[in-house]
Amino acid sequence: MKPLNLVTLLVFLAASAWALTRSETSVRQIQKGYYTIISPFVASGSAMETKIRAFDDQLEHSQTLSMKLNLAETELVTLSTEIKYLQTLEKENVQLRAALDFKERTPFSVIAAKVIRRKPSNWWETAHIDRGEHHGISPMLAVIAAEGLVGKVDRPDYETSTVILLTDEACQVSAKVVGTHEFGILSGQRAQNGDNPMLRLRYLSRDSNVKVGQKVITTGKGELFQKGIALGIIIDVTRGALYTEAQVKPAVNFTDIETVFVLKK
Amino acid sequence: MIRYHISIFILVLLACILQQFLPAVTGMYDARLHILPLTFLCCVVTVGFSPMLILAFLCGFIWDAQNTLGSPGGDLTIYTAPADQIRFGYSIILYFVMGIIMQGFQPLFRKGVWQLSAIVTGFATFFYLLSEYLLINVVRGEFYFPTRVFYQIWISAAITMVCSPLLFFILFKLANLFDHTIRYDGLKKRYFRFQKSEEEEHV
Repeated sequence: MKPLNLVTLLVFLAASAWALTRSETSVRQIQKGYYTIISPFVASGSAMETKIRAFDDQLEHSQTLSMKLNLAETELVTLSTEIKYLQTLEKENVQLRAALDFKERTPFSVIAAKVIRRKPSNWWETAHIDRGEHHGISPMLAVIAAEGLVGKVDRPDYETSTVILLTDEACQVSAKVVGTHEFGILSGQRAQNGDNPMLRLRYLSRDSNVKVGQKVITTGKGELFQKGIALGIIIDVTRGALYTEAQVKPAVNFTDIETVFVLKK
Repeated sequence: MIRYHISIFILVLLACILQQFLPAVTGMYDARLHILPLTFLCCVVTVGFSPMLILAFLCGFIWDAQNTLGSPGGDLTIYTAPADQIRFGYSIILYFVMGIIMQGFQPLFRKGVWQLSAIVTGFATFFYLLSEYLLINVVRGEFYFPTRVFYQIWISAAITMVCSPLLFFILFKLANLFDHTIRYDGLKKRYFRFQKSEEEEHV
């Protein structure tokens, strides 16, 4: 091996060891620096992602409409497009009204935020929201939608934040089955992509009487999430030797999530 | 030569920015084009060992800075079994291994057989994603490998591989622009010595 290559290899090994031994605080500092530089591009990227998704949705609609459109006249095509656009506006209007209504009736102090980017990494279920430290967001704050719990803030940057979603394995929630005295830990499952991610409710007592269709809510224990936030509905129960485990359908539709609320402590 | 090396470092940073614009394709098992690993893989086959190490460190560092999650937090008496995270910096090692694989095919690439390197980028991406997923399984326990994950990995690798000729085209253009000639060293010497002796035998 050439001397230069040997020296570079040694430097590389030293630098790798340095990176691998960083504490969480220094990793957060590194990430903060990185996201400060990259944040303008993330914002542009998320705008483009939104456009692509909208285009994708339009493409799906066009497949079902194409047969009808073939028979229609040009004027009708124009009108259909206009109607479709108005429907989008109407849907958006309904969502915003629901969000506004939710903000008014919720007992918690909340910060409204828009989801600007979904699943930026391969194996981690995360999303970016357009509110950061500048707006009073701090780590570990619960993030909810009108239907229930969405996740928690993992890393706030100045203008944006990363939210770890409930569907991720690393997002654990102390949960209670409504109508019973059963407590457990709810979390996402590994590699749960697709339209119907399911949650795992573990550590229920072996002889628990939980049934399919029962609601699951947060207990308020564990210092992370407030009490009484909807999590989902039990769809399957498996009784094990030590514990009972339940499959839970999340209350929130994670594929269609646009506006969320960060709960301030 | 130095101008070419600077240009590929800039190319890597541009790829990092471009990665922000590339969403996962929901209809294809959340597969996506991995432009940063692709740029790394294509670049390392055109440079020597030392620049490869620097690129591996840079790409791995950026990748982890982008994706590493924090500790789960919460009361440990309630959350008794938190899901462990992979350490910051693991990607540097994975990029290093991918770089070594790519450099193994450097003699053929420099002989003009870039097509093989293009195919290897797909395999290297597959290896990278698979290793990343298996690492998560090792760290968190409970081995779980659904078919959907396999599809996600191989479709991502295929999409990435398909885009590699474009990257090689850009790299060839950059090499021409900055008068960078691909030099033969290491394995290639052996390879060409072998070729030469074969030719001599022929004569």
